[in-house]
Amino acid sequence: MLDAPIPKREKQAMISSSPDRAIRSFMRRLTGLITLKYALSFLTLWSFGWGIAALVWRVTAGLPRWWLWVGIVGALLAVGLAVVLAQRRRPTRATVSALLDQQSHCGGLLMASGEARLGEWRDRMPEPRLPRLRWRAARAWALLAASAVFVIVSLVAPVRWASMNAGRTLDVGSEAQKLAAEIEMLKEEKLLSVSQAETLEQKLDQVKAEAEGTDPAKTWEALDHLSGALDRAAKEAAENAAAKAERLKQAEALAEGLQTGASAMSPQLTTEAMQTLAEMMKKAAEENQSLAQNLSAETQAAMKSGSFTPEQLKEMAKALKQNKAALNAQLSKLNQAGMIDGKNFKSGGQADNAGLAQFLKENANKMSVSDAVGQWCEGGKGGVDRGRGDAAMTWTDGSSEKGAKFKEQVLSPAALAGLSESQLLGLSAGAPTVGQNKTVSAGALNTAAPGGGSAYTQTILPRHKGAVKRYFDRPQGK
Amino acid sequence: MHNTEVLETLLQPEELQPAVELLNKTLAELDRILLGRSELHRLVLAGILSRGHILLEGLPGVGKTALVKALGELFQLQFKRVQFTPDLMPSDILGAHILQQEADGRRGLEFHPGPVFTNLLLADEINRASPKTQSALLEAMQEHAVTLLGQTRPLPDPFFVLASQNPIELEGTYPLPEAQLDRFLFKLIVSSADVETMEQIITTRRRGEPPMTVFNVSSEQLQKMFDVMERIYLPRAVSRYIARLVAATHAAGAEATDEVRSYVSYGASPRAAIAIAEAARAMALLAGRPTVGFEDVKAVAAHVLNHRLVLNYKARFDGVDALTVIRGLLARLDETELKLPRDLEIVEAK
Repeated sequence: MLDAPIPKREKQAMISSSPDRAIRSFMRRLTGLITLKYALSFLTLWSFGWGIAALVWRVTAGLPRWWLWVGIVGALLAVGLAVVLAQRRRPTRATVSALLDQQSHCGGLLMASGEARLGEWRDRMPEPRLPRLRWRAARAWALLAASAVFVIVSLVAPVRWASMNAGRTLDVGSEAQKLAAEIEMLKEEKLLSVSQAETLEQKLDQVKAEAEGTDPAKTWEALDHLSGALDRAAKEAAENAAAKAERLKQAEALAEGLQTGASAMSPQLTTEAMQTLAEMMKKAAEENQSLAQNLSAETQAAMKSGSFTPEQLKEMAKALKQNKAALNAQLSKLNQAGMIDGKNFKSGGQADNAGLAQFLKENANKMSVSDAVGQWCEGGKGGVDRGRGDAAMTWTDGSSEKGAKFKEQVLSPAALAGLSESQLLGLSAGAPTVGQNKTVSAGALNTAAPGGGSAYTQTILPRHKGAVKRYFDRPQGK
Repeated sequence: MHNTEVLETLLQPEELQPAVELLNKTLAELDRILLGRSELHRLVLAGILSRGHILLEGLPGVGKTALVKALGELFQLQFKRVQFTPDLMPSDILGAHILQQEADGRRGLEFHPGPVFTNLLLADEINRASPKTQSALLEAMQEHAVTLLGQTRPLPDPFFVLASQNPIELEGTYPLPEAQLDRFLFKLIVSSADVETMEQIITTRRRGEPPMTVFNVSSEQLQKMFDVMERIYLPRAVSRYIARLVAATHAAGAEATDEVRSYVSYGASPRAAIAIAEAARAMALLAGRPTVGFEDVKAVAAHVLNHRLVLNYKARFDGVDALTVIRGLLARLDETELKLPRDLEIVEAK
């Protein structure tokens, strides 16, 4: 039944009545709860997204200050979105009144209150009981807390933790340490100048800093280059040292030879030998500054005159020996550091120079004193020999594999299986010997007959015999 | 554009009260006449108020016929009983034209109305009549009219068919077709009385005869009750619940339960939704309310729907009947259609 329009006053009374208040109160509660639920979800998503973006930004380009404002504005937008969605998900008044009607056992009166005039029934209607809303919010809160922690971590954690290259840095510590030690050693031994050493150290530091797992070849190449440079410097220094040591050795040999055998030599040869020794000493003194320090002023003066007393010869021999030992020690250090091959720079041992005077006398007319001393120190005594027993072995390039290398061939699985099933009959250390023609007793050649005993024999399978015969057949008359 | 709202005014307590008192008296009288059947009486009364036809199913001797006879006496309605048998013809129910010679000597066909021309028709053991005879009731039940030889004759108002059928002794019976079943508002299962009731019957009733009625409802009073029924308000939320409930009885329905999908071949018709709405109105009136609530719908839904669902062979194999399916549907279907976000739920008010 349709009645007249509701007067304004009555309508106001209807709206402010208890059932209506209950409906509106429940709707507010429900909307609030839905808003909170959505807000938590959106804030959680935003926090994780913003945290990840912040982390990426920090690692790649550094976090700008306005990024914090982006976070705050985004959070506000998330809450706004939650409010909008909650409003859209909010149940209608009719639905809520139906729910309260059902829960309060109003028998349809509460539902009808929004659609019809209740009249006296408004006072008789049971008081609406608001049902409780239960929200299992533990997971939502936990996720929000986790996202908040993630945001904090993404903002304060050291960048290197999150660096995308952190896991890709190339570890060249040991190699760099080795090279640094080599540079230090070459510097100590004064085989490298200070400026050279500093340059190499700077390069090494640069290589360490730029060592990246993404391009290891570049780093290894740079390290190899540095190592090569050091090795070359070491080798050059070793060659110099070895040459100096050789010259010192010759001077030492001559000094000792004159000391012990001058009486056997002619005065002319002795004078020539002493002048040669004086020249050697001068040159050695130029090359080895410490040598001059080990010589007395008289000896140094005698070096100018080219005439030495036996004491002076003894002093010189001793000084030369000390200098030679110092050079050997330097070579030994380089060898121990693995920068040179010690075998290539072996200094001669202590030679017996007692026979040098006799050797000089015998070769006085054949060569100069210096050449004779050089030959003496090389160990040559004249004549044909196989060289010194302790001479270093030198190696040329390795043999070429061309023509000698087996051609590699990938075997099929079936062939591999065949190999695994093959039987080992025996092993021989010697080269294989060509035996007499024998019948193969296994495999496909089981029934093949042996060849005819010619120089080049070949077992032919019966089915191939016809073809071979036809090949060798010669027409009559040709 | 109008800013004013036009609202219906609910039936006020002083208007409702006389009808409710009358109904309470009627119920009390029925309860006095037939012992131990209070719930059945309420449903039958709801059927009467809804102007619906009722199918009573029960074993012989449980009081089906006695109930209908008591109703006839109580409402002071014209009451007729037809015992359905296999040889019963449509004309035995509807009436027939008989050739009569009039005073002037002319002959003409004169209509002799059958027993259907009454207010309350008891169709006893309706499933024993042939389908042709059963179908003769179709128009009468739906249109409240009978058409014979091209002439339509209205039936008395009100007109109710209360049919009974026996669920056993099915040999020689003709199960009611779906079209006819659909015309019954309720199918009520009349179960056997409990020990206390039977003891009371044999103690207080000589040869089991029910006492005479001491209270009657006149046709005017009945009409007033019908008028009140017209003004029982059905809220939109309840209408929607009824519609969703009926739609959910179809396997293809959006809110159909797993049981419906598994066991129901054909769901209920829109006539079922109308029947539920009417019956729920009657239940609200019986409860003394001017509005229908969800509980009224739940009270009648099973009785309205149970004979309207066509179950498949799987339901028979699994021993599932229509009532089980309907109860499951009522338990699972949310009345308010309130869709809350996940993790949010309503805790029932204490």
